[in-house]
This record gives sequence, C-alpha cells and structure tokens, in this order.
Amino acid sequence: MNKITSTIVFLGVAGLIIIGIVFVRSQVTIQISVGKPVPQSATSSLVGGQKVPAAPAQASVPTTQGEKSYTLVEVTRHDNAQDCWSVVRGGVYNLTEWINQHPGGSEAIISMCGNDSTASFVDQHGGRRSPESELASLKIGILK
Amino acid sequence: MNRFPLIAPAFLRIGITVVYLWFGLQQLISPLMWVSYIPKSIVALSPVSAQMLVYCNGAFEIVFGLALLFGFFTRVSALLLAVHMLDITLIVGYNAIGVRDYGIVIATFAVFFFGPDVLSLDSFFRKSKEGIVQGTNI
Repeated sequence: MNKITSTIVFLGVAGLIIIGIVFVRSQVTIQISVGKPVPQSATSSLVGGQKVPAAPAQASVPTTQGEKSYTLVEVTRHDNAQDCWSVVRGGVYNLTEWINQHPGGSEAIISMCGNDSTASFVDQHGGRRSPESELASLKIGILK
Repeated sequence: MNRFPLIAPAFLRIGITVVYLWFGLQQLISPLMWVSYIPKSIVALSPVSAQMLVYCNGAFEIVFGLALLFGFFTRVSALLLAVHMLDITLIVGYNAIGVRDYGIVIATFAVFFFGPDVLSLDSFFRKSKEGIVQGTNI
C-alpha cells in the first residue's frame, strides 16, 4: 500500500470513529435524560444553542431563595442585542444594557446572548473582582 | 545530553497533544460549556444543533489527538489539527484566548513540519519495514 492510499484509509477510519463517538455520545445523553430526572437546563440543552424547537412558554417561578428561575428555553428567546439574556454558572443575567458598556467591545457580549456563556466568561474574567461584581449586578435569576 | 535534541520534537508533540485531548474530552463531557463559542452564523447554516457541532469538534480533536499522541500518521494528524485550530483562532479573533490559540497553532505546525520523531509509531513502523527489506535483500 503506498503512502497516499494508506493516508486515505487512515482518514476514512478516523472519520468513522468520529461519527461513532458523536453517535454514542448523543445516545448516552438521551439515555441519561430518560433514565432519571435531570434539570430542565440539561434536557433543553439537547437541542443546543439556537436550535430550540417550539416549546410551550414556561413562566418563571420564584425559588425558595426568592430568586426567579428560568429554563434554558426561555433564555434562548432573548438572543439578540436588543434583548440579551445569558447563563453564567447557573445564574441568568440580562446583559442588554451592558452590551454598549463592555470595555472589550459589544461583539463579545452579543455572542453570549441566548446561551450558556460560562466557559467564555470564566476564560476571560473568571475570579476577577470587577467583572464578577458587574456580572452580579445584572443577575435576574437562576437557571431552572 | 546528546539525546535531548532527538527527544525535543517528541516532547513538543506529546505536550501539544495533551492540550487537544483535554479540550476534546471537555467538549464531549460538558458540551453546554462550549456552545457559546460557536459563531451564530455557523449554527444558523448548520443542519445539526450547536451541541452536535460541539460533539463533532470534540471527537475530531480526540481522534486526531490520539493519533498524534502515538505518532501515527504524524504529519497528517498535525496538519489537520493545526488547520482546525487556525480556523478557530481566526474566529476567536484578537483577545487573550486568540493569542493562546495562536501559540497552539504554531506549535502544531512545528510538529507537522518536523514529521515523525524518534518516539513516534511512524518511525517504529518505518524502521521495521526497512529491517524487513534489508532482511529480504540478504
């Protein structure tokens, strides 16, 4: 077998393995959600990002701590610069007012609208007092 | 000390691979944490959900990361990972994460340019093949 043929075979096998991993991983998620109760955030996340099916609107409900709780489906509806909500570490934040005030530019905040932005926030500002306090001031509730 | 220059490329290859494997695993374990990194334009164009894109990305990094870890098809794996990372770096843009990713891209391209090192499976297979050829000549 020459080099080109073996490379093509390698890429083919690698592609099949990737498809296999993705398939198994998506199946595992479904099994978990069917097998035992999981938080609403986890089940709604199955659709991911903006690909949210038309689900019945769920009104936010106050928690025992007095904070309102929202589902991820609700958060994903606020996915634009005029109405921007985001999730960071299980908290729900209204970032609309902050878009034009963000020192790092509005694009960074707009990319957070309507989804769970924990990773991007923690990567950029995690643990720093000023961004953490700014974020805390924008909190409107927690993820259900 | 004389062996250090021989080991250096393997050191770089294995070190950079750990980064890809860690990120790949994280994407498979906690896809929600990574969904926000996918540009909305890509999600809008994609026929699958953002979470599925994260799974594909994670699986890609794990498969070619493992190949690179063992030095199996070193050049092909390194090139694919480098181009993949370059694309991510361009999307991320100029910020702390983008600069970090730029370093990873350059290191991965260095592995691609060097090719199989002394500790890679590619070198092992090549030596075995050469041994067999020499054996048949004798």
